[in-house]
Amino acid sequence: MFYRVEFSKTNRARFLGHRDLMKVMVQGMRRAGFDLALTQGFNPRPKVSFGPALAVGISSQAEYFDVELEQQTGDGDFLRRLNECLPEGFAVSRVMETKIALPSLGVLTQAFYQAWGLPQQPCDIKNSIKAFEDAEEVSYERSGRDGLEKRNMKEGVLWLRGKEKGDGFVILEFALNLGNKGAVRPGEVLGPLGNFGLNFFQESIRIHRTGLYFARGEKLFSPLEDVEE
Amino acid sequence: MKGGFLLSVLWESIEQILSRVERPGRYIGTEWNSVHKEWDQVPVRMVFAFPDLYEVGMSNLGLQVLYGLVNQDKDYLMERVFAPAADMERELRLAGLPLFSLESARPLADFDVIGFTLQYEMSFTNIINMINLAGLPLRSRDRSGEMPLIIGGGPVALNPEPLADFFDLFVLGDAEELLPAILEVIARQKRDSQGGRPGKEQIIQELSRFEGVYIPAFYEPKYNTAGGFQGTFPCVPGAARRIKKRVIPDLDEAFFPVAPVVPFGEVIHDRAMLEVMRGCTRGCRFCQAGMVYRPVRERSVATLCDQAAGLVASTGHDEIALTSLSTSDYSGINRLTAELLRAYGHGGVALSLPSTRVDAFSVDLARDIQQVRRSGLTFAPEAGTQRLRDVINKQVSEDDILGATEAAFGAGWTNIKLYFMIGLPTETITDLDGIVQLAKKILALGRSKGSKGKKKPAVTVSVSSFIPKPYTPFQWEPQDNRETLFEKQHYLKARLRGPGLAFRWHDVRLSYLEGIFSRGDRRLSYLLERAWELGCRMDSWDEHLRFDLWEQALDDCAIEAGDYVARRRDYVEPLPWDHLDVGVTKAFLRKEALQALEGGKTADCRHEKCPGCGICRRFKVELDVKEPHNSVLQG
Repeated sequence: MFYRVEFSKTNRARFLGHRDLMKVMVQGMRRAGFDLALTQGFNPRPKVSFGPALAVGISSQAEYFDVELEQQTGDGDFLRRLNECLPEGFAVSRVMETKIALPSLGVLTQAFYQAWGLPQQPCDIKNSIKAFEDAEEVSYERSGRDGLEKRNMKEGVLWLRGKEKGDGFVILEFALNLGNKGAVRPGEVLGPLGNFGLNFFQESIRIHRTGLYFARGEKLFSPLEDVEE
Repeated sequence: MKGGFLLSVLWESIEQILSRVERPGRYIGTEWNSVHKEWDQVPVRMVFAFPDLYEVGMSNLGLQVLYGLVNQDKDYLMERVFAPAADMERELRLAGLPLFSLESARPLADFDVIGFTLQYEMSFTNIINMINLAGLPLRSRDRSGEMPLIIGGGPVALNPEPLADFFDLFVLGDAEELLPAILEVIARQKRDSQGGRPGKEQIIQELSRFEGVYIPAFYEPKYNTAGGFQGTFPCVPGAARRIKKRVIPDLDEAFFPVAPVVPFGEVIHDRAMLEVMRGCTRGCRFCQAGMVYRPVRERSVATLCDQAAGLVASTGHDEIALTSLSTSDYSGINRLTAELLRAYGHGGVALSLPSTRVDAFSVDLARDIQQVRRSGLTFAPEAGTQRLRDVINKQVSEDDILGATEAAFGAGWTNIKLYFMIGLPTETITDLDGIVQLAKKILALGRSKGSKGKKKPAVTVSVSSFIPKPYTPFQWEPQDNRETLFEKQHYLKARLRGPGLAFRWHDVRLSYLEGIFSRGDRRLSYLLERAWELGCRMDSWDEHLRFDLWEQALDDCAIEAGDYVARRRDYVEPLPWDHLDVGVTKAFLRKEALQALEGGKTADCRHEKCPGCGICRRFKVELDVKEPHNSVLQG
């Protein structure tokens, strides 16, 4: 029996990495008494696969994993039992049971984020964002294998919105391409905005992932929606 | 487990830092089975301080035992703290923030008790560092009465003299009964002082009456005019001449944590641990643990199966480790493994043993155990020739070794690891050649046994440097100097190369430092403090060891390391740990030392007659073997 699980990773749990997360979920499922299907061979492992990694320090309300169990357990039952066995900061929000494997979480195409930060000077959000959108190229650097690589942020950022919160903080929303070509990391987005008048205090920045999606043409599907394939 | 997670006001600042350090998951304390209590509702609060990184400390069984034990009482709280990594330490010092506990991010100085576990000498600089990061004066005499009590326990607490000036109290031996008794005294005194914090002196005065409690301030070392050590003597009325370690007589009655904290991340050993027994009486002459954890006390198969059930359900671990000093010697090992495999094998839960006794029977056992998942097999012959094995009382013949490894290859193993020591007393080049010959014979066996499989046999020889330890028959021996050890390693490396052979060795500089502290006295506190001041930390980590600073510290303190490490001690000279009593008599150790020179055998009291080490008679305790009809001598 196959299950797709949607969960959140918040509070102190945002400081755990992807491998920590995988361990937490697998051990949690064992504690919940689930009969995990195991791979064959020398070193049997549970058949679990996770969506794209979330960087350390970033919280999320919508992360996903797929798991195969030997025995069926109702959706509601799965959710309740697993939630009782997860440490603080992890909560399963939705579970979907299917008899066949769903389109892989590896082909998710977009990630939506929220970020907030305190600008170092008063700024004009509307104009800054417009300038960003109008720019053809927004360069930034990433350290790679061969030293510093120059990259163009516009290739990876699908859209960007923002507004002031009222307490001085600015809240941004943006979508990034997943996948290897030109992919921008969420932590890399805020820095180059300094070129457009948006300079944040580094320590004030917080990033939160709000969704992961498949794109089919113009439409976006959440991993729990795209069942027709 | 869920519900309000109460964090101190420090948390906001710590959160900032966590975004900048590596592996911040080490510091958050929200693991499954971690305990979070309301600070103001709990009368006595203690923090367990493990003086190494989270990844190392979370494999420590002692931590889990005491954490579960103390927290089961609603009047006590225990939280955890580990040595901060270099980046975290830098951030804390830059921001002027104190070292904080994991669960509630409280400054260590807010606790009533800070308890360090003393696992190995090279963690000492981390201990000093953590006391300093807590914002507390290093030395006990400089700490005021309202500051937390700093206590130490664990194996190295049996010779804690180099740390004596920094600690208020040491717990010697088994802590399961003693620690709650200590906390109870503190609870009562806090109640009686109605809101104020009772003075440290008052608490210590009462605690000093417990057996197993060593108050270093009540003793002073004496030296003669030439600087020779004369002994450690009581300097307050009523202090006992010698302090006896605590012994829990029946492990079936002792607390065991069936809901241990499940660590985050890649921890050195991430498995559910079952403590099968405590103590070992095989009598290997180099082994301190074998001498200081006597008598052997086992848990029954029934108790262990119950505990295993609790562990698996509460943790979700996929491996159960049967830990003890020599698990193959457990009287119920066959029955235990059969029951555990029956209960958990199909569910993908594996069993593991730390190392395998060197005989074919044990290989059969290992094969049964590794049905679920196979890892390598480790044997510890320790010495390369029969002559030297007889000197150390390791009763293993070459036939045993070859028989065991042949059985291992036959059963499908391809990776064999062998542990040896260099620098043992009476060692000659013939003994080193013995190591090489043995490794090559075993490799040849592996190739001839030739598995149908694709994997080629591989033998890894791992060689550690012998460090003479207190309370062993070799405590009077000199330690090989660095040059000699290095040459021996070089000699072996040159001969243990080629396909199928791998050679591992330990840093001789580390062995040298460990040797100084292992048989050290109180004068070393200055060395320790100076080394720390100069910047020494995390000494057991390759990338952090600053041997140059240690050499400078030795120089600055005018300490002659040779006195501690290289000198052969006289059988009648006073030793810095003589005032502490682990049960085994010096007369027995001396007799064993002489036996060693003759290559004489000393029996294991579990199977043969009592060799007279002294502990049972003197401490009124006894050997506790639980499954007498299941003797391990049978196949």
